[in-house]
Amino acid sequence: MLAAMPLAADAAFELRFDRLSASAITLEDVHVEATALDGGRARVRAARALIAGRMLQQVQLDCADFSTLPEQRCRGGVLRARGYGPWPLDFSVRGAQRVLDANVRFSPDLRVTVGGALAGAHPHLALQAKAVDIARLLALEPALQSLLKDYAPAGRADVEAVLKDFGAARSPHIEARLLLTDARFASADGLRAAEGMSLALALDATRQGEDWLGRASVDWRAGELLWDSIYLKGGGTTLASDFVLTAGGLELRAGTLDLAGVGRLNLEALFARSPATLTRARVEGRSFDLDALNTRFVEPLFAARGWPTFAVSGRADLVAEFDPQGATAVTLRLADAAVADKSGRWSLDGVTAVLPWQRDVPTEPHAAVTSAHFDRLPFGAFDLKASVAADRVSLQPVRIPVIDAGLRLNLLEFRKDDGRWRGDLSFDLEPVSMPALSEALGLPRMAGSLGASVPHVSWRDGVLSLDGQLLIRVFDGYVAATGLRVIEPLGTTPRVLADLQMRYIDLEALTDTVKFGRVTGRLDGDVKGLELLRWRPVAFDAHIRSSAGDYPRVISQRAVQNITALGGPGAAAAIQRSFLGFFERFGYRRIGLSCVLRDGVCDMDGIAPRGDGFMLIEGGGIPALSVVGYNRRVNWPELIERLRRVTDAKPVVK
Amino acid sequence: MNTLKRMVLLGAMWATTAWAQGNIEINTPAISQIKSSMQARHTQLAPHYASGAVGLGADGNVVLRDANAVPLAQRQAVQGLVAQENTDRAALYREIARANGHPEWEADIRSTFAQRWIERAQSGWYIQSGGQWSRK
Repeated sequence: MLAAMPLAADAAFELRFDRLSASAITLEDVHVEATALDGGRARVRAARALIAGRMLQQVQLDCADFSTLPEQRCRGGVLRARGYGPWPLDFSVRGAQRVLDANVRFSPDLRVTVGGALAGAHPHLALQAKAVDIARLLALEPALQSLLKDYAPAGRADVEAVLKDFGAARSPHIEARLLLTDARFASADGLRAAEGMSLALALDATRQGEDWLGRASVDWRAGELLWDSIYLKGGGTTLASDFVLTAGGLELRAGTLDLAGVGRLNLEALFARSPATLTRARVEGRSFDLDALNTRFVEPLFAARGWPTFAVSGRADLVAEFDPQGATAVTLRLADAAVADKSGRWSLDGVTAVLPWQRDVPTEPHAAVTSAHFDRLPFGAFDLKASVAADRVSLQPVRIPVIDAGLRLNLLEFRKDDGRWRGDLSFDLEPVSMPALSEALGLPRMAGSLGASVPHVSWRDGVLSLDGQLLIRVFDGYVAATGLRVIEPLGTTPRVLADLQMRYIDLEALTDTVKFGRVTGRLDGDVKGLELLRWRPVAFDAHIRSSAGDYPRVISQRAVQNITALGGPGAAAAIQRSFLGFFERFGYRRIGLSCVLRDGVCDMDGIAPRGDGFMLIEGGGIPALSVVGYNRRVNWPELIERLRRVTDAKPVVK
Repeated sequence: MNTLKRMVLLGAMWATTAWAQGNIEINTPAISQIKSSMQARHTQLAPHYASGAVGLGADGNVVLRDANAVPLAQRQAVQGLVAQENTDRAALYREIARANGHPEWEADIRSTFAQRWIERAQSGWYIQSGGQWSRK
């Protein structure tokens, strides 16, 4: 309660009014006491004051020097109301135009100056305030305050505002400019925060009936912002929109958001006022720079979730619609776009696509790809058509040209069962010419063709499993893979498990291809428990041997030298150098070699023990030659390096 | 030096103990790959454990519990670190279950690890229990 003490014993008069009204101000139960009309102390009290729609209780103004003639004036005044003040103030109102000149000090650092004409054809008021506490400003609008209460907004604002044409039967107009400096906010967990923000806000609005219509803009000049996973630095980003503010909510019309370096979004939105929520919104952008959009918005979101990120370029159009539950529909149109993984291992180029998504309705995205590559393998143009629903994503069958053949994707489908996604894949590789394939892959030129049929691969809980057998025809024989599984192919440690069978491989074709030194004959092999980690072998039990049957068996001098070299310094060939010098080619009875790879070491063995070593090649015919190895434990990376050296080396014949 | 000590401590977490139902110390090339990836990341995460920005969750994950302890410009990167660490941890639990020949043990292995991470956390690090965070 404010004290209702009489002003002083020398009060010359007292006035009481039930109600006093002026433009935008209504006072009720008013009590005025003053010592004189032309100077001296005065007190004005009102039980209630309605100022610009806001109700204040028990308002009291004390003036040290008060006069009503010749001008209305209060010097050395103090204004208070229940819950507000005391605020020192001075004001005067002069002449027929009722020219107001007022100063209110809300706090030592907040002084508001109000000036202007209260009467006449165009009454107006101007307000200036420097370095106002932003929290205090927000408190003026309860909806805004409740929206931001979890974000502890702070900072300072310079405010300039002009109110024109107020009063009965007029449409008041407000023009306001706010400059926010060192503005900041932070959610409790710190994942939505801003620091050092400098924002220029402009507002022009006219009151029509109960509503305010106008235009607002925000220019973000400096500072940093984190919103969940998206971090942005200020400068060059502006938001501008027409708006209608009603008792029920705020509607944005013809809004534009210019994102520095990315492009412009057009937006429309409707917000409810209490509680403050988004009712609906539509966002549309044309010809976005995909690279900038990806780098600033998509990559950070993916990285924060531990998902792989991609390099993207080109242009995109975007339309997105929202309701209170979130996005309802998004359509992305790509024009001449490219998508690649960060290391450049694969890419899709010349992509034109329409990618619609709807929350409640299945959609059919489609894309045309001009070219693509995976490692060194080039792919030709192809069209993709998909069907996307909440619990099912599938691709229509497609043929993707690869060199002189095609990869036929017969089935690619993902389904959500019991909350887990599972997938199924089926494809055929049409026979592709090996000379062209080996050239494309940068491998030695190989003859023949390579074809494969994969009737069914399933994807369950991060594991790709091949049903049945993958059969590859190569070097006049075949390689068959069974039990093929790829574990977490996109994870930290992609792992491949398989058993391989090789049968009747033409050694002449193989050794000519890899420039190892010619060997004539046929080879069988079994690789059991093959395990690749990050696509490199870490374990297997391998055994290769001459195929059964009758065929020529000849090994060149160079191949013998290379096999010997593979054994490293500890290996030796049981051959006579003087004897070797006379012959280019030798006969053999059989070849056999095994390698058990564990912990980076290949534990080697041959056809049979021979002295302290093991026989790798058993001689036969004339001239016959046997090769014996002595080094049973060979470091696997070293062995691979030696193999690389001998297959790169030029033939040397002594 | 402190960081080195923490890395050694982390290494000690792999010391041999027997798990009630299986071998939690089992080693395969995949497991050792994941461990070295986690150990390499530990130097980057350690300051955030110490500041309280990142805590050890009750579910065997690490949690960005108070991003306010990290400068604004770095919070995005720390979110990425936490996501990568949790991806590795999930892969580790899964691989240990697989290596034991019992993929269905994954959840048990995760909760066993969750306890061990918390038991062996340095004093001053934040640990989660019953949904509440406390400083060890």
